[in-house]
Amino acid sequence: MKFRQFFQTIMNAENEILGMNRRNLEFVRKYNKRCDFPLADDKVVAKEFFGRIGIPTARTIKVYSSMFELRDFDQDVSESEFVIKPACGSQGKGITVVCSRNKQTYQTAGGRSFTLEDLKREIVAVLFGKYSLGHPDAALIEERLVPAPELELLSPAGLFDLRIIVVNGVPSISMLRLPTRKSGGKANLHQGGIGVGVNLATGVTECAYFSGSLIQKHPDTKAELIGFQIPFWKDLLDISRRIGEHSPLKYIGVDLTIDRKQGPVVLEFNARPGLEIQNANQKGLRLLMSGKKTG
Amino acid sequence: MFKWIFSLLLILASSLIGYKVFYLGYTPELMLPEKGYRVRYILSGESDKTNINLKAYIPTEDFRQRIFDETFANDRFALQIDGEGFLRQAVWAGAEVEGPFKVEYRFSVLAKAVSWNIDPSLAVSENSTQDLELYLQETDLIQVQSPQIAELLKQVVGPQANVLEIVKKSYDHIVAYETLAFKGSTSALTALALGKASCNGKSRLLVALLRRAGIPARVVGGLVMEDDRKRTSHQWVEVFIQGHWVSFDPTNKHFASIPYNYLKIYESDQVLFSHTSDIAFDWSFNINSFVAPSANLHRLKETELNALDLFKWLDKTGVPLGIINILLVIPIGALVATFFRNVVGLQSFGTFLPALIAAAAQETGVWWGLLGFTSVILVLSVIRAAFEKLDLLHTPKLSAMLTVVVILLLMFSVLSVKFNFTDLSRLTLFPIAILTLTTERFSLTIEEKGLFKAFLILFQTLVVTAICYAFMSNLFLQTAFLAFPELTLFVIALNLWLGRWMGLRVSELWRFRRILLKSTT
Repeated sequence: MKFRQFFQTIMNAENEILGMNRRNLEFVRKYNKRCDFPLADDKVVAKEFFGRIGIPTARTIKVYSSMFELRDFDQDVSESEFVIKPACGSQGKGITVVCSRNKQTYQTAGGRSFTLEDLKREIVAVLFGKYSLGHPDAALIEERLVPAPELELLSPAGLFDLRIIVVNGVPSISMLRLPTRKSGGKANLHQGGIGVGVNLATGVTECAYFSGSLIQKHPDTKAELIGFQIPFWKDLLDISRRIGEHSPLKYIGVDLTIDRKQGPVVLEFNARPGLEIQNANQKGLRLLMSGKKTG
Repeated sequence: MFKWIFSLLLILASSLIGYKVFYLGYTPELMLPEKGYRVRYILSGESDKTNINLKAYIPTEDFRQRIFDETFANDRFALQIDGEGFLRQAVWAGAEVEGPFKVEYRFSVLAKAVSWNIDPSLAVSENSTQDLELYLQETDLIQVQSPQIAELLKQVVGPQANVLEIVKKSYDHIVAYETLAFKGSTSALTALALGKASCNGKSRLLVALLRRAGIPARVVGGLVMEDDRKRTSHQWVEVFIQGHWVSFDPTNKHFASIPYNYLKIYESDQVLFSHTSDIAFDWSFNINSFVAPSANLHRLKETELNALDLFKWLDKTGVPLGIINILLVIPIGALVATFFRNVVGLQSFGTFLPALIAAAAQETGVWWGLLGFTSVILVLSVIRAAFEKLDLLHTPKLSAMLTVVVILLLMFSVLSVKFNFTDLSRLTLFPIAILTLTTERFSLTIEEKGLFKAFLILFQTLVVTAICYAFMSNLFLQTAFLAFPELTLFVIALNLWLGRWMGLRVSELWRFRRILLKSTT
């Protein structure tokens, strides 16, 4: 009996979980044309797209695409708080967050001090493709976003983001990704972030998944992770839906956050969203989608 | 569309194979390549004399064994080949040899299994038509004239028997003896007295009995070829029956037959290796099997409409069969690697790396292959870490790493020759560019995901490589693909099928096990 149950589970697994093979063939290949990928892969292009359809994003301070432009870095970037991002980086690699500045010394969120020269060298590394597999890249300098006060306890070590997978304009599953001290301020699950499943209808968190097991409280602040109502939920859903409608890519993972001043903003979107979101929600994506079709 | 192409491939491959089998007469015996052996005699030792001689009997071709690619490594010795037929001997004469020495004799063998039928009514008096007195005589170790032999013959065979009965009963009697490990030369009488013997004692006793009965017989010596390094030779018996020398092995129980892996080296009771006394001397055989084209292949070339026969064209280009063999098994390896990636869900560095490493390992053997691969990756990633400190651009750094790979492989080759791991020197067939990129990936994985994860993926890569190797070195698959290269179309079809397979990978069942278990309870 026990074996039969186990066997049944394995036989049914495919109707429940979306696996890599099916994702690639039935979703990425079917919904996303290769030629549209740069729209999502290049953050600079993506931000232009968001601007065109009127969706709030972090303000771009400057985009560097060649080394000589860096001469005027001092005048271009007068802010004391800003973020450097490789335009084509993935998984949060190569992001430097500057949180304060004392004349020529820049303090990063990671606790390091950079001189102006250090900072320029970091940007040059981005330009030369250190974070984009050697392909020449652009460096995006944008304003630093600060999490809304409601989420301060959940997101103490960096900026959280909300991933919503949108299929053909329909939000299908979502999770909150919270950075931890272990993840070094990054919200990426593979780097030690927490994945929190969110009820799509209500925006209330339902379960939390952290390095392979289910947890109840934030490991750093002990804040309760379950039953939290994400503010601006309708707006967040609307934004993701609008991106889904306007984007030529039809199977996407939209990454949003809630800034203290601006409220909901979009960070970026992804044309090959990962599968770990199923673990964060403790629900299989296929089951969710088949449920939608029938009911 | 998919179904059409899929079926088309299957139909095309099947009909080509069917055409070959049913119309061109590609029977397996005619087509399938044979298993051959590459044999190395290794004679080594140490001498403080200046003049030494080493002698070794070396094989000759006959109706069932083909000897080719003979080479000698003579150290400081002068080589001379003496004698003919199955008394051919390599003689190494060293005039100024002092200290350790080592000479080698290498050759390839393709031998056939043969069995004989003996006319059951053949009488002893009708058998020996030639003058074969020599093979009826007594020798020091084959005491034909001894009364014990006469007594045993009477006991075992009885009076009035024909050739088959005599041979069969004598053979059966000796087969029942316990077999001892080789320990010097055992005479026929010693074997009889002990009731047990090694291969040479058993063979001599059988020869003694048959000679006594008036049937010409002789001890022959040689090698049982197995993938191994061995320090034993073998002896068996040849009996002259109706104009043929028929093989009998009372030790390994081959009655009037000889298997394909028997190499006959000398006839009559000889000593395989001999040397000047008072020197330290050691010998061994190193034996590796390989697949060789069937000797019957030329018959196919004469059949009509044989443009489909790959070998015909390859023969003209002079491409060695070994290369074709490796080329044809790479798709098998790639298919296996794909299976493990998409169905099992093992992660490996580089999609086809396991298949290519396994292909290169066909020359080195699987362990040297895996070891060589791992050491290149590890050494190179240390060197890469040093390059990384220099703040280099991506492409020049990779190019420098590639050069390091070449140097490493050459170093391995030199070292392996120096330390006599000749198999390792073939490491140079490793896919250099892919090793470079793999090291880059390995190092990035260490940086991004940590040492544990990187080594975990490396380990999975090794596992997949070993499995690829198992398939690619499988003699059945190799011979099948050599005989029917159309099978590659089946490989394409299987890949297409895998390309449409959307099931969960085994690893994903584990990854999402919580969700799955939750939903069943």
